[in-house]
Amino acid sequence: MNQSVTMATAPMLADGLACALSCCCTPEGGHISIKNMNVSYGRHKVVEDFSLDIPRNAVTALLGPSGCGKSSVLIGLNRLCDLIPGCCVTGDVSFSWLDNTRLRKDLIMLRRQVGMLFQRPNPFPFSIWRNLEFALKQHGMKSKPEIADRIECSLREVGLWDEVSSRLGDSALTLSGGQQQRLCLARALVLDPSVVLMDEPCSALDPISTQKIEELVRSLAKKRTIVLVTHSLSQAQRVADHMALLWKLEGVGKLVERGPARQMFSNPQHRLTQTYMQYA
Amino acid sequence: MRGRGEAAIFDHLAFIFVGLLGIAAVVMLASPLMTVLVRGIPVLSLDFLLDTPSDSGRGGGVGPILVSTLSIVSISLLLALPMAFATATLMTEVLSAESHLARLMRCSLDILAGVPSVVFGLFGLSLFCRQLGLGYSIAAGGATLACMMLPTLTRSLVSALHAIGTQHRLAGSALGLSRATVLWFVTLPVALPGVAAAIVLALTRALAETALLLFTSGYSDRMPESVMDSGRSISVHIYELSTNVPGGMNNAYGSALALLLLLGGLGLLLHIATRWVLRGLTGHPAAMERKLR
Repeated sequence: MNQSVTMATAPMLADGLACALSCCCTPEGGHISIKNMNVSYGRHKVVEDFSLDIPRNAVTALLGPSGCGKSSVLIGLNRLCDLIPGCCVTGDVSFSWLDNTRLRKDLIMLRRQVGMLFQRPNPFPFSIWRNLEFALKQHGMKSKPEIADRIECSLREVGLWDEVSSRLGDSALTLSGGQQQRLCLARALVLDPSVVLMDEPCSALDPISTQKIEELVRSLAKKRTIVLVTHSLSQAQRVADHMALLWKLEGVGKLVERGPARQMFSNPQHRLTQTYMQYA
Repeated sequence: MRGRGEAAIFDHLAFIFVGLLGIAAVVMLASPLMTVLVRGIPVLSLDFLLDTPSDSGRGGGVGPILVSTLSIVSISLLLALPMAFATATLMTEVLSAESHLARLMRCSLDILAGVPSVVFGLFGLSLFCRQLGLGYSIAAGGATLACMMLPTLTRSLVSALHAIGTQHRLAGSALGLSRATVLWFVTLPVALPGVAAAIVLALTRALAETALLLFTSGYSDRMPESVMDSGRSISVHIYELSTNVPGGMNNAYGSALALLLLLGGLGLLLHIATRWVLRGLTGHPAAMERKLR
């Protein structure tokens, strides 16, 4: 693995979870700036020269056909690509409201600030309670009342509290697919990240669960930055504030067009975007 | 195209054929078990399990033999399990499946798993008994047995860890947890049933091993006082009684039944321990539950 995502300097991020909280209370505005990102797996280059500004506290959807590198860009943001053998990400990612110098050095801090929801629900095979408590304890939170408050808060945030509060000791695997996905979202939110990456989070869900997740995405965007990878144009139309279209050109994924979602749907500029939007 | 009636007849014939094969397999498996049960039960008693053998094993019990067997198997597991676990972790968590080192390790393990136990016996005799000066002892037998079970145990552990997939590792890492934390607190508990199955398989092979222990742990049927004493394992005892001791067949069947009970008991113990750990993982403190209500 040879990854070198560099991050520019920005306001200091204080220590601990409490400070992660305070970061979300800093003045609004800002963006995630991705500059010249290249992703390759071994000798196979999948994304080339990808640059994008992702506005803070909004939903940005990454769209494009399969294999164009959307998910690779996503895991380049929280450096989950480090876990994939042979994956190499180069370029520059900076979060304008965070201390990027520190994030570059501290992978744990980066991933605490940048949560992630995966394509399929992947709760740990623990109880509902332990799924949420585990990360908090591992990050050093010891106060039981505080842990309990955090867990309740994140379960309420994803609308799961009323459904599971009477059976927190049950295995998370007894929940339905949609509930499991919301639990995974609560698990990401319990650390209070300022960015949430979502990799096709509704692809394995029924329409009712999909609608719940979409409503959550909209409500989360009030105080968190959401980067959503989706294949569904209608989903992007429903939830996204901004969009970016990637396309595989000459065998490599490249950014074709970016802009406000409404504009991209009503007045696409690039020929490929015009073609793609016909399927909306 | 085959008619509906013809297809139904074909289905019936296939069902009968597969059913007969299944019954044949059950009979083949059950008949030796029944023989051991029928001839072993009259011999088996608490005295038989605790007494020392007498008259070359024709009389008395298998107390010292069971102690030697458990000692040899415990030593082999204590030596093999950490090494197998470390190797399996290296192969699943650190190395890429396509890397040269991982391929070399897989190939080596496959070759070692196919080596006959008698060859391991000769290796143990040369290295542990003679060069390291352990002599014919429980320690030498356990160490040699550990070498023999290492490749199969490692491959089984690799399979158990592979079966978990990468989803928990990714989910844990996305939460900012270290790889060691995810491995220890998530992957391993999830893989526990597979790990237990791997240990039971290794135990089965270790308890059934005869040739290797003939070379290394010796024949002595006395109660061992230390791991440096010679000790006869139960499989060697059964072999001795059935081939070299005229009139020893009854006690051989009694010993075989004791071996089966030992295997079943250890397997059950491991199963209960696994269930206990897994139940502990899904629960959460009752006090916390009350607070939340």
